[in-house]
Amino acid sequence: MTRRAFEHLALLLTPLAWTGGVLAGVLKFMSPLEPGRRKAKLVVGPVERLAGGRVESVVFNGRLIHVLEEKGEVVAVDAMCTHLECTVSWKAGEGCFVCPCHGGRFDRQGKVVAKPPVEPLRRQKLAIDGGQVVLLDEGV
Amino acid sequence: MPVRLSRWLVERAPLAGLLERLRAQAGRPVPRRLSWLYTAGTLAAFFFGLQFVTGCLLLTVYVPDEKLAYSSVQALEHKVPLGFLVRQMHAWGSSFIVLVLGFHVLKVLWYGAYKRPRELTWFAGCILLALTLAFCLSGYLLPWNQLGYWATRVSVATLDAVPGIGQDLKALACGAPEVSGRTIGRFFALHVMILPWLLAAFAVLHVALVLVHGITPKASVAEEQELGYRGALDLKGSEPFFPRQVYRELLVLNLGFALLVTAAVYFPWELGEPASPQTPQGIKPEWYFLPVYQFLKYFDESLYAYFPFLQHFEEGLGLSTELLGICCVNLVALLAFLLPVLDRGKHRRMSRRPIFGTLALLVLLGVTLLGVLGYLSGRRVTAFGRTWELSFKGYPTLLPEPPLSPVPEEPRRVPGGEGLASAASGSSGADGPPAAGGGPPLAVTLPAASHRADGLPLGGTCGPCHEEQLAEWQGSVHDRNQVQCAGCHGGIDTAPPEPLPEGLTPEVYAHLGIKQKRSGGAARPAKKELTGFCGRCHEGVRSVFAPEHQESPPEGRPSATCVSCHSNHTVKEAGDETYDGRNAYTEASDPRHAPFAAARAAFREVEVGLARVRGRLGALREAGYPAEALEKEIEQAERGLKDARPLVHGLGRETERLAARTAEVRAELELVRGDIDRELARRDERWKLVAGVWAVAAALSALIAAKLRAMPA
Ligand code: FES
Repeated sequence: MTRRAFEHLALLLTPLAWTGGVLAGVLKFMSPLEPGRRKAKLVVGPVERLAGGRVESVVFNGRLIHVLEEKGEVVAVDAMCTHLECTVSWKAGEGCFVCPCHGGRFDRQGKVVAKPPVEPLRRQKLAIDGGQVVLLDEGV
Repeated sequence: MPVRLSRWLVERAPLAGLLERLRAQAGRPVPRRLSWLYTAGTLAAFFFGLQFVTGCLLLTVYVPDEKLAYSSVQALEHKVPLGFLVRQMHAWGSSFIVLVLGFHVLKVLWYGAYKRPRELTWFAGCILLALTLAFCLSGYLLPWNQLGYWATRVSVATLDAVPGIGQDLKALACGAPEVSGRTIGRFFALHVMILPWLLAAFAVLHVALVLVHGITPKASVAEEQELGYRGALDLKGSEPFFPRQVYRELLVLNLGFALLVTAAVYFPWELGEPASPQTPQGIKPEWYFLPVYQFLKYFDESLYAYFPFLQHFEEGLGLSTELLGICCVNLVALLAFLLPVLDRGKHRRMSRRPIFGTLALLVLLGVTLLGVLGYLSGRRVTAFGRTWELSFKGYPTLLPEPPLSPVPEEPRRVPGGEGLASAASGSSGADGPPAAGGGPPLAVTLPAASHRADGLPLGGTCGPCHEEQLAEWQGSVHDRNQVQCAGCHGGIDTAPPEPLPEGLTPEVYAHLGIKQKRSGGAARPAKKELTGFCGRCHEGVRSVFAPEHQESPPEGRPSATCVSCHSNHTVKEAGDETYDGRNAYTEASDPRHAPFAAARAAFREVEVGLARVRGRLGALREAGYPAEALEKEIEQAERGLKDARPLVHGLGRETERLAARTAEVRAELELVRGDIDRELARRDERWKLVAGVWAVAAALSALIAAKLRAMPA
């Protein structure tokens, strides 16, 4: 290594090293926080509560979930619209889920009945335990 | 394309010209062999830069609100990745800046650098120092912890002494008559918006003036005036700024950064308790305000004893001793600010400025002494083999010698508390399995109170007649949970009304509602009714109570009721004591033994897990971690275990449920334990960060030192 190169190395390395170190620290600091622990299940209530087409809405692990009974089967759909992530709400008068952002519509099973969304609403896993509707988190 | 792009760039941004100017600056001559103290300015600028970076990061989490400020700083310290480092570097950064600026000022004083033509540079520098202290003061309050809150309150309260407008000034600073939640908003705005702009403006001015006038030559003021800057430099010898001075600054910067990280990791500023209306003990300002803090302490009524004329000042001019103190501090600051005007001597060498040198040394010694006294006041100090207590004003008092062999005090034992105490003490001991036999109790057994809330003795009006039963009951699990005689047996155990309704005696009144024996006395619950009797409260047990206990015991085996295992008035808590009881199913040949033993083992496993997790949590809490959320999760697990316990009465019918419940609790505990262990491991690994920083700093410093050595002297 020439004398000049050595000079440059010493001159450049200090600012480079510390700038790099500080930048790495900044990135680490800004990295997302570990999410809180998720609940494995949530008891919504007895199945009878869904009689007469009633839709129960609950928040499970930070997401709004609509629970209803359709053709003898209990269904839980994630309220997040598959278009651009607004949440749909149940319009009893119109018999469908309506998204307030761009007017997307979904039927009781979560299937699209009016665009712009294309994908159906995401289904939430559930179980019936002793007559109680229990939402289950797949990830837990 | 790249050629065109570079041409486009060069036309619009004269980079080459800029580089040329930078090179010219680096090549500018400075006095030969400058002192290392000349690196302080650059180091201060570097630390200011770091404060800006760490400050910006803190802003992403900190909430300037009375209710949220403390918890947001707590989150920074414990939840955000590297948050503790950023906060501690920011907190320590202010101290480092004040320290480095102190060296910078010393250098200016020593070399007479404030003298003509650099007076404006000095004025700008003084303002920068004042702004720095304002930064420190405003930032100290922001975490809204006890230390910051009270230190700020005391500082701001000095404004009260200003005659006439003191109260208004204080209200203006605080946004309320006192330091309050509103003050956070004001100090926050000052700290992150107003002061940074002011500081930047004065820093630019300061640096521009340094560039204009150049670094102070070693020649005298007269020589510089006569020969000009270059001539004055040539008189004592000069060299270009680059490379020696640049390399020296880089070297100091390396070490400064490594020292800052080390202080931040190993000597963290405690966050302590959130701000509260109760002043904590030993409250003091930050070290750089200690001299002023201590100085002001001497300005009280006792001053009149030494200077009686001051009393006339107070009566005539309204000049209180407190205000006099504040005036003195400000006068010193003003004199320091006006130094270039006051000291117009033509010499720069300290040996030619004996009066200034002596005065400066005296002031410096005084400030240091006041700082040390400020730190030590109200503390005990051991010196010359004796212990001294320093009063509020720093006057020492010799404490009497302690007796040679002090009698050790017997530790007070809390009944039933030993297991928990050992489980909670430290991480290492608590991590092993609890001692065999007793097992870890889940709650400390508190000594029973001797009176009820209504003022009657325990047991109410039942006690005087049922002394024996009362004695048995005392200390039982029912006693500990405030279930009194009437709670199980009915009747009325409160003082009878006066006068009693006709036909009632106090005894009859007390037994109202209790089943009567045919013969007239109060009836004990019959054996066959016992399950129902206890089951009124212990519904969880009654609902799973297997018939094999009482109704249809296995052939040749005795039937058992609640009291067979849990006793009568001396009701025992569920746990080892009950399992090992005389009437429990301890014989292996009893078909009821196996399900009991299995349940016991399952519960035991959860208990061990609980004790371990509690021990680990204790270690985390000792490190200052806000453990409330984890504590709640552990309590939930404890409740889970408590709810699962009654299932043991199902005698094999509830095996699955019992296994599922205990497994759930164990899984919950595992999650909590995982969180705690991760957090503890994160703490244990902080040394790696410091080691890494020092390794880089040492390697770079060695490289630079080699370069410096190779330079011609
Ligand atoms: S987000 Fe629902 S329709 Fe666009």
